Amino acid sequence: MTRTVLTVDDSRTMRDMLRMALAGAGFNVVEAVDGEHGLEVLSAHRPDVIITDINMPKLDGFGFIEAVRVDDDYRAIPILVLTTESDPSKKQRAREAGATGWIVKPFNPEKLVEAIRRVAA
Amino acid sequence: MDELEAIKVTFFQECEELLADLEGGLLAMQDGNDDGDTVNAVFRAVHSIKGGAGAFGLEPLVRFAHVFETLLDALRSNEIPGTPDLTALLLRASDVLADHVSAARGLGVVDMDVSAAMAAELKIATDPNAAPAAPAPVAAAPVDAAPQYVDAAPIVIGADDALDDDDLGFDFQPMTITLDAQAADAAVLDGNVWTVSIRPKSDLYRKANETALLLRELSRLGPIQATLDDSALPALEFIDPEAAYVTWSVRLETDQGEEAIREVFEFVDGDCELEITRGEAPAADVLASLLDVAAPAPELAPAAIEAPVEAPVVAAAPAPEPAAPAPVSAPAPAPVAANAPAAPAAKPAQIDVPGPGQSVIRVDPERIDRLIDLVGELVINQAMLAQRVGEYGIAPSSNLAMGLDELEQLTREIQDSVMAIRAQPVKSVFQRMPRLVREVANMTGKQARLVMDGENTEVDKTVIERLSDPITHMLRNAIDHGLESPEERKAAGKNPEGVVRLAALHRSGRIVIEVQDDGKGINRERVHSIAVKKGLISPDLQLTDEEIDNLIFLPGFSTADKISDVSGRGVGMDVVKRSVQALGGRISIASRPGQGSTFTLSLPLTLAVLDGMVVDVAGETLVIPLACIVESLRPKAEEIRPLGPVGSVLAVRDSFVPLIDVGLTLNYRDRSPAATEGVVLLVEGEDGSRAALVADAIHGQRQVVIKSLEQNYQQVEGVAAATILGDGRVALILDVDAVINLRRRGPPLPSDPTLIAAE
Repeated sequence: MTRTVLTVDDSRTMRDMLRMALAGAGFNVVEAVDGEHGLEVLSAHRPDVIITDINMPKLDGFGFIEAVRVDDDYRAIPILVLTTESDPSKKQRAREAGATGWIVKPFNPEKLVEAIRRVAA
Repeated sequence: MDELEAIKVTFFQECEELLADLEGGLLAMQDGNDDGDTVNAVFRAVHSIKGGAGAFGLEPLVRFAHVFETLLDALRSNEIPGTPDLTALLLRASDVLADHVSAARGLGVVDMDVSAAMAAELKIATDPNAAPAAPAPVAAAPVDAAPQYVDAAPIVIGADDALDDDDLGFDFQPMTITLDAQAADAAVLDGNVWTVSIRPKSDLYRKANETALLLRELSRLGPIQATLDDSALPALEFIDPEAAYVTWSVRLETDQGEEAIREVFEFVDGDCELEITRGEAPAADVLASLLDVAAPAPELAPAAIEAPVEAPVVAAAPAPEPAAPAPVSAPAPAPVAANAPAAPAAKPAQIDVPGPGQSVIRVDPERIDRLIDLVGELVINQAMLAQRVGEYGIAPSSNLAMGLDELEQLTREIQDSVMAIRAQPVKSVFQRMPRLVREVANMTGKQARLVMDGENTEVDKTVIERLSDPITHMLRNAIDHGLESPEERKAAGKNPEGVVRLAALHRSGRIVIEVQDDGKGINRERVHSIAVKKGLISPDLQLTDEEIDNLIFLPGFSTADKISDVSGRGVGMDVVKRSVQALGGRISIASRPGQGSTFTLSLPLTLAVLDGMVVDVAGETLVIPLACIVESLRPKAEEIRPLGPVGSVLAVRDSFVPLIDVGLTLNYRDRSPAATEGVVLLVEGEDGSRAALVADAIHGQRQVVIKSLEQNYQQVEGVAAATILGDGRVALILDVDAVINLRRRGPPLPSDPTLIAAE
């Protein structure tokens, strides 16, 4: 069964990078450009895993994760946040919001797929 | 890795947009609009550039962006106050960032001294006390604050499925899960056996982590035996479905070290109590130690029954490991990659972030160019067909003629649509200008503010690419030569900050770019004397103000007292004028002493097609751009008046316009026939001046495909380009303004007394 991964990032470059890595590993990829959009796509596609950026317009990653976690339909979906090495405080905040795990940018494709495997049932 | 290269192209395109956003946001801040959204957007722009750059390993760019981002982060979290000085610093930093982006792209180099100095400035602005210590991260509330449900009662399964099964709590038996049948047989090498005890907290499940997955991960390191202790599980009525109650003890055989085992639990760090010990732990001991922590007196016996069961949870243990992403082209709908690192062909102005539903197709610009060429051929072909049909004398009401009309209609629509694909707002050029203005102002010690207008005016890509140089030149000129120094301005009672206005608009089928300054205007006396000194004009030539102004376009003219860094170096306005003319464009200047100057540049909207009027002049077929034509008329003799020795004017309603014989101007003939015998086309030049062009006959309107004369032959004064007509003949396209100007300068002394001798 092909797993669906939702990627939420306002940067086209980052979305393309994620898509390349994930599609290459056999995942079905759906994309959203910010947290608000992410919530819409979420209900349309019911992804198995979500990967989200933190800094985004409209609804940022923290808000997005919190919104997913309070929704009974989606709260069991694993969420990986994209974070940077230099930002431990952001990682902490994302975890408090309910992030399942994280991916350090810049990521390498194997690490990314590995992280998904770790959290995906 | 083509796909990666394509993403890199995307990245640099995105960088352009982000840099524009950055600059736009900073300029908004400069104008006092520094609300949180603006600052956040500015931060995100730099952050995204850094993120992408990191992905491509563009180190210098990442480093600079990081310093920049740190300052912006401090600003947006109100750690440092926003001030005009800070905004000015940020603007300069954005310029350096843009340099880094260009350098990363392979266009130009970064002055590392400038970059380092800027980085240092940014650091000081971030933390004026500038101990070079690492900035302490804002203390976050400790994550693993005491879990609320720790000493409540257990439930086994993570989060969701739990509640569905009412009798789950009753039937659950402690059991051992053997993940590898061979585990039991394996010779136990003491050094390779680990005991891992896991006691999840409810937070682990709240974050959608899952114990079963942790066990699965452990099993990837080697054979495991997991023992579940549910002794802390309370009676059903006391169970909190959201809480975690059970403890797992796992015997793991692996040749990997503790590090690898810890890594499995990286994501649940703090969300479970984890103990990793080397060696076999007697089950009882483990349980005992755990029981110390757990709630006492469980109703169910904590006996760990050795019942090797293949737990369904773990059935999927050899996880479907997705193949490592090879550099294979993805099966996903990857965007059509543009090969050339050129700008996207049709860049939607607003939609820069297509969602999954609405996708933007990126197309190789060459494909569009090819399409446009083909449509051009189609137009010519269609015209030929129409002409042939006409020659056969087929009635316009016949089916054939009507079908042809429809074909013409369709051809036009196709052409318009194709041209629209390539049309782009001039924004892409305009957005580079604020930086230029800042730099030039800095260099020349002027204070200048750039006001832009009409950035969304669309024009064909072929034209856009050629706009940048002339605009750059005109702006430099406006600041360097146009604006006065702040002191001079104050003395003249003006605001010390000069305003330079850059505007784009459509006017009569062309795009017009205006560069206007509120400086001192052209010093006509000086211009005149310089032109005389340089031998460009004869001293006794009487010139109008306008003509003097236009002397600055003469080759070899430069008014700067000293060759400045900015607009000197011998590249004068004449170069601009020539490059503009080569595009079928024109440039003119209007100036008012003390109030400033306006440069007006006009170019065709496209360099591909043109609507024209086909006329006959002295046996030659010419095309006059329809955009210039106001009306056509047959003059009566009494409407024509002589003016001076050679000229004549035509009375059109209540004004007089100069009468110009095209044949004479282009040297097709040396004597003009009487204007009354021909047809007169009233045309309007770029500057609004009118003239009446005399032709012998009119053939009608036609859309023609422009073929460059310069590329195929050479530039000819008075001729803008050439085209191929329906019958296959080549016709020249008239450059109306040039013809008017040729006439103004006066034709080489005419041999015939007057144009309108025939009365």
